[in-house]
Amino acid sequence: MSDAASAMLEEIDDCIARIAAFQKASGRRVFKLIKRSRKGRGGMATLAGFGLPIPADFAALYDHFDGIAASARLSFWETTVFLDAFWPDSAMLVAANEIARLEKFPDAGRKIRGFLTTHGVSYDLFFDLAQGGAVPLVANLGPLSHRSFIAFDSTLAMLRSVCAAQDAGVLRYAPDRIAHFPPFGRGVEKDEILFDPKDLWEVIRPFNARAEYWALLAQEPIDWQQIPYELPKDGRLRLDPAVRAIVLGETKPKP
Amino acid sequence: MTEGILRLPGTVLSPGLVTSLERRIAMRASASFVATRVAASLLTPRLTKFIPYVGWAITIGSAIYAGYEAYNSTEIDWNKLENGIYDGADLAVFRMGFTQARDRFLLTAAGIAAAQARSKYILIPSEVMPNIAQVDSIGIEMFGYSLTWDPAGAKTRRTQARQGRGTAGPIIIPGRPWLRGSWEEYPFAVTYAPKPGAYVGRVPLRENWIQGGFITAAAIVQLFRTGDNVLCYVL
Repeated sequence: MSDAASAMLEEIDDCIARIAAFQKASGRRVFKLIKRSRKGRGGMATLAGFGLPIPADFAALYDHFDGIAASARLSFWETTVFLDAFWPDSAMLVAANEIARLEKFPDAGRKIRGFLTTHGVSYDLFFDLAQGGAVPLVANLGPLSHRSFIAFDSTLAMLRSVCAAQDAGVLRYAPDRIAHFPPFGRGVEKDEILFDPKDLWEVIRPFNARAEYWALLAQEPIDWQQIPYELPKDGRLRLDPAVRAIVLGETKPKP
Repeated sequence: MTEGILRLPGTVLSPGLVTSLERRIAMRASASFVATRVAASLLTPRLTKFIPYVGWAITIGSAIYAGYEAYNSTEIDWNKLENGIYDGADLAVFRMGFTQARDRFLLTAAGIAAAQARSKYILIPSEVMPNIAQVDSIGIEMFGYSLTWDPAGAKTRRTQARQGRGTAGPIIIPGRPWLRGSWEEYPFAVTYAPKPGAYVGRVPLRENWIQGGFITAAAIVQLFRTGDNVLCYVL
């Protein structure tokens, strides 16, 4: 391993330790789910089978860890650790990317679905936007919008941003449900992350020279020009049989 | 004995989850039950027991087998099913089942739309509850899939929906043992739709118990509160 790769791995490990410590200090039980594991490496190998090069920082994130496997003991909102996004385990990453291909998400073959948030937006790796080897994480709504915005310059930039935001004291978590949280322009659930996008952007801007998402969010809620998703009248979702099998846990997804 | 309780025709949820659910409604035979069966076997009049050695060996072997059979046999916990009782271990299984399905559902276009709308939802996996799914689908066509969470009014709504109906009786599926029936209403008793009324259909009791578990799990994991908008999706 080169010195640069070793240094990056060390920095990522340090970031994860700081994120776990912040979760613990904030009284969120999710910190217990951040555990060292070698499983992530196997997951990256499986993901590479989709035919996309895995960025070094993204792979390094899964080198000593395997994300966070969803826990039925925690609420939906208590398991986000990368701001408003989950850190999926590699099995979930593989499932996400297989579903994206089966459901023919736009550009499914040119991006890796990465970090899903609680509100439908995901921060995905868009290879077409790579610069100097850094693949940005792009906020998008998958098949429900043609719009997308760079949220972080790279996976490492995201980790640095989260740690900086923690240190700056701009992140907190809702102690109970709040009917209306002005910075988001909507209500929030108990344990959901709270931040003012303006304050957050001020803190994370140095790590994300290319990002546009947070600056826009600081102005007003983003208009995604959402493509409506039509549900069948009888409520039965017409899922592709292979997608259905993944959702119901009948099969383990394979690239 | 319980094999197949949840394995209705068609595919099912992950085998591990189904096994876990089966265990929740099956009671392992108690020690006294095993002892009774062994004693009954020993007391069964058999001429062979008076034959030295070989006959005694047959008798002892038969008694051991009776005990083994009793140990393996299980009974359905009807009290749980009839009264919709869920203990902590039951809910743990349902929460895990719901969480696993939800996490993958969120990766689909339908899931993204639900998350974007910040909707809370109830998932009805039709593989595990095909009859419920059928009744709910008709109900959704009539009353829509957008419901309001109101568990306090459940008893009243359930009584109203089932007014004039007797017991659900057995459900007879050709070529299979009959199943104990139950009434299923949509909107679910713990919810109400903008349009008053409910569609009611007969379903196997065990499916109703499983559905209740899934709804409870959805409510716990997603922090449902009275007045919340809840969507119902049949998978």
